[in-house]
Amino acid sequence: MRAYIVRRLLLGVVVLFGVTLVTFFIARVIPSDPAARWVGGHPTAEQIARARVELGLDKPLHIQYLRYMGDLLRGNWGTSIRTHHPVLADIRAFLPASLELILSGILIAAVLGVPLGILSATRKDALPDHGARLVSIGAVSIPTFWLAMLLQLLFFGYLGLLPLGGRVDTVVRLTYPLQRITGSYLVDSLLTGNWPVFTNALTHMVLPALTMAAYPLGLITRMTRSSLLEVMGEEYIVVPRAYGIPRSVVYYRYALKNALGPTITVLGLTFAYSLAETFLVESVFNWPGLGQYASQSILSADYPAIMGVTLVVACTYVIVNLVVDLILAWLDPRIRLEG
Amino acid sequence: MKHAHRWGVLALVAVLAAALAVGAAGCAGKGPAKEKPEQPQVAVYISNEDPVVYWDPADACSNEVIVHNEIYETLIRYDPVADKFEPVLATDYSRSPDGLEWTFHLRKGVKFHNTGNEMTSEDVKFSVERAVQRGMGVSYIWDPVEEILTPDPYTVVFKLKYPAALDVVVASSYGAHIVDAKAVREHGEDWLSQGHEAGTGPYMLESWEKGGDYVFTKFPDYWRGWEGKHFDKIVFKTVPDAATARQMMEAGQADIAPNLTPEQIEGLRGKPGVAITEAPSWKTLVGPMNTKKKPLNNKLVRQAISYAVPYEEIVNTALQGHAIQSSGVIPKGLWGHAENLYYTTDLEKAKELLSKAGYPGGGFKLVLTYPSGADDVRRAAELMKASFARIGVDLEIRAMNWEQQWDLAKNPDPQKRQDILLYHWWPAYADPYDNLVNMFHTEEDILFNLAYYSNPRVDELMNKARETAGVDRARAIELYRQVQEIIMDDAPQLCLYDRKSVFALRTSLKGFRPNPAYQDVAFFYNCYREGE
Amino acid sequence: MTEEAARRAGLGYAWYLFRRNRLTLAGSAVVVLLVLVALAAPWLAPYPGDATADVHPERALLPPSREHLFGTDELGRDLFTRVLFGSRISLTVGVIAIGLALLIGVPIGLAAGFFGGTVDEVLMRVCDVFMSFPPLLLSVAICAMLGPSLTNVMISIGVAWWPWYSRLIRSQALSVRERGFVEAARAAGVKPWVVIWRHILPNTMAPVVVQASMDFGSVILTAASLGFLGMGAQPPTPEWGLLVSIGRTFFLDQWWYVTFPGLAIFMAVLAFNLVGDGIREISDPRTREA
Repeated sequence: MRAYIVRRLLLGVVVLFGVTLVTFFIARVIPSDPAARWVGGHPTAEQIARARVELGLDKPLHIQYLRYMGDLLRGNWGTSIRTHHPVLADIRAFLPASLELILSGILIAAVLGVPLGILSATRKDALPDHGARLVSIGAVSIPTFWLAMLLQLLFFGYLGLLPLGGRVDTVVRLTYPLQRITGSYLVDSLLTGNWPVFTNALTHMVLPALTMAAYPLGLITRMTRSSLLEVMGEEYIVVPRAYGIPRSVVYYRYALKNALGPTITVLGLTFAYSLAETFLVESVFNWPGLGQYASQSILSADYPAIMGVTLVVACTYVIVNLVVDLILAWLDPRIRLEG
Repeated sequence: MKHAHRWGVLALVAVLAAALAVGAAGCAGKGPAKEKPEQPQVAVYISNEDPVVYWDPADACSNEVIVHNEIYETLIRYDPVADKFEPVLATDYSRSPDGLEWTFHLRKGVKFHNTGNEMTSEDVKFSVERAVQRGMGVSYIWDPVEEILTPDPYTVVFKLKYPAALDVVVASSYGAHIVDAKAVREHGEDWLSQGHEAGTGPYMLESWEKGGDYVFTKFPDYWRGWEGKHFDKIVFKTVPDAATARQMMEAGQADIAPNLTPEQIEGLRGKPGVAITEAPSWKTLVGPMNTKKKPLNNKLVRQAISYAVPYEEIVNTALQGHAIQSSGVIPKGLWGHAENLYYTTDLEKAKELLSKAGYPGGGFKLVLTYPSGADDVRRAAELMKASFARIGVDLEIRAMNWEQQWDLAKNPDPQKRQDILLYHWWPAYADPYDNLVNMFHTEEDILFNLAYYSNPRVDELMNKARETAGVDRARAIELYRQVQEIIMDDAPQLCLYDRKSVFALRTSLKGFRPNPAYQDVAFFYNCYREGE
Repeated sequence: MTEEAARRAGLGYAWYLFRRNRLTLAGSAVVVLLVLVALAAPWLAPYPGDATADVHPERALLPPSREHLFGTDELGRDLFTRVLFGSRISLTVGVIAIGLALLIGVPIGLAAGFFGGTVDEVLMRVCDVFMSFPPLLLSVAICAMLGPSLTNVMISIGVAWWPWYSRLIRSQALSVRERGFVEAARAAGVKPWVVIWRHILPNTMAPVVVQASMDFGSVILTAASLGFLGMGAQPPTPEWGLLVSIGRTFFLDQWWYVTFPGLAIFMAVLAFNLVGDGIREISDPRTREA
């Protein structure tokens, strides 16, 4: 077990290292004049010259990379050209809103996806299976930015049930000030018993969270189905069934337990995918998170911000994968032994 | 067993969440806030980008204008419609006959936010000198000022190098705000940039959140007092997406939205509770041409291109009538504007000019860039492409974000620059010189002369105009007309349209009066709510 | 001969499974239709000029009708025409981006699988690194640095996608390497590159081609997403993602503007994914038999 963890951690560090190499390459080597992009706006010749020295562009590549790494580790991720704040501070300000959205989306996906996957597996090749397959493949095929607009058109435009965008109504927030604890409006308002903000924030959450749920829903449904199909022939499923224990009990109690591993893997995977997906969804819903920050940065050629977001998302992905692997190892001794 | 239990809990949480969602959806229309009586009077302003990038008024040069003019004040304020100056922090002012000395008398008893310090001539001198010394934003507007004297706490004297029109400088929407000298000295030079303010305006900063709400609350000691109807709080919201902004207006979640796209405005027209107000603005769409590269280095070709632009179609289709065709290079409504100085769309004439220039039937390709995200400009570009095709010119249009397109236009090698770029220009203060010097004065290192135009006669005329404006504005206007006639004939730049400012307002918002000299500023102190 | 017969029978059985799944069948029908539409767009489209430079301000934003099946856009162009022409762009981007990914990924995978050892270890760690970026994110970052254009979209997707093919082909190469004819060739002193080219490559391509066809849907979706973010094709190119992005300003009043281009993306991606899923089911014996 310990050997496996050490090996896995080492591997994680190597990959993280590689990730910074890639972002370094994209940020400093691809552009024709990285210094001008780094300064942004309307740089004067002196500003560019200063940035060139600051970034070490006159030095050989490996020295430049070391300097880049040093800056990253010291928390110096550059200054956003658009907001004029340190990129890292910006990311910290925008991340909680995105995390709230992503986790809500995954929660919805899990709640809908697992039963759908079970249904699909237990009625294989029957109509419910085809239906579930269509849903799961459709969910990963639908362009999320388009789905977002369709939902807005329906629930806001025609039915008038839900707000179009934003996190909370201005007047509600000003009338009932919210204490910031975690940065998630739902959690914070729940913790402080601020009901008006909670219900208002919840109505704002429904459409974006449903949109974000699409992709994970597809993956979770499929993963539940295939891992159930895999274990369905195993003795510990067949035997209790033969003893007449109801099918639903057997599936939920025994089969799902076995499907837990793959489900955790999928959750890790979807988390990272969702982070990138916020680029497409948040701007449609005017959700002030990392994705909207990223898409606005793209529009204004804010390179330090774009590279900062890229790095944060990639690192999150690596770390989430690492955590998933460690959890799996803890749950399933077979992996430990293999490692 | 354990895991199954966990799923059960998860399912329970989900059901709860769903139930709450449905319940909340049911009461969303009513809005829980209305049950509370002590709700403050709040005005909500929607901005399509972050309202403040530079908190320091000396550094600001963009969208900040909408916020800074609520928290800071200038000595006087310009009303271009009546062509008059209103007293604000100064009660009156006078100018020496030679136009080289301007004296302002300050209002007594004006307090600064938070500190309660009284505003004096010291603060005025400090603010202007600080702006000049920082050299950011639009500090160049103070160029005519030689020195600032403070004979007593309520008198400021500006001594000028040449008789410029100092009143328009002092009334500038940027770079002319008076800050609390004591507070800035105490907290240090960078204190303002870090998101603080030290103004005398009616509203003071309460809180702000990146990409979210910027909240301001009324300053109890404001010198005009709070008699009558006013708002307690004003909120600036960042809503980049026009469709969302429009819906917030329709749903009554916001009171004022400038900068909506023409189609969103048209969609809002006639909706209950929403009013549309039009006002002139000094924003113009310009298309500088690369006069240093073939074929646009040929004046005849530039004239041909100017004749090939479908002006009327652009105004009516791309802008849905929210603009008028430009005349000259100074927008309508700003002194110095020249009437009847424009190209008409005349494809025959364009073809003729092309033949004369040695390009019969066109047969060349031009690259045009425009700022990405600007839908109306994109449509204008697409219409130009279709029209140019008819005179045999292939126009390739490319969206670039503003920084990229500007970088490209400033490339030291003219052969690498784009042939035409489109962007919106508006003067920082009420002086036509701002347009002329930035876009047409000979420049060694290119900054905004993006046509790379250089004509000694034009340089000379515009400088002469500036130096007489302080004493003889009629003469200056005459000189500006001459400059513009030369420029239009040389055709270094396409002059497409002057944008109208079209505001969507809630009908319950009263007292709003747009002022083109302060682009998109609401001046919320004058506004109040009635009805709804 | 018997081997050949078995292979044929296998193929026949696969085809049977493929046909049995009606969803897959429907997906393949849509794919075929899409390809035909893309090829015949200039003849099928009612207003071919609207795909590029034409404008008709007098018929802007008309709702769907017999003349304009999908309505018109804000410059009066026929959206049906533009969506039809959009299929050409999406399919081209898909083919070239995947081609590029294969061009990078296949040699790397072959090298890793054939040489093994340190080469394998290093190349696979490089793959790990690239796979640590969600593909959309890496494409966005690369596109942002290269500047917006359709060519850069293809390049950025290719760069984001290759490691998956490397992984696949490596494992194939590993197994082929131990087979008799490869060992014989190596023993006979044939140069490694010749062995790879003559023996390993042909025997590893089948699963890669299958995988590539399964990825087609995701690649089209990624390209459309980049177009939506404004990083892809430039107007007036009728790229689907760009159409949705431009139509966003209008969608609450003119529902047809985003609906049809978006539907086109959805249908195309869904069709390719259904076919891909069908192929996966067939090639995975576990799910096949249960």
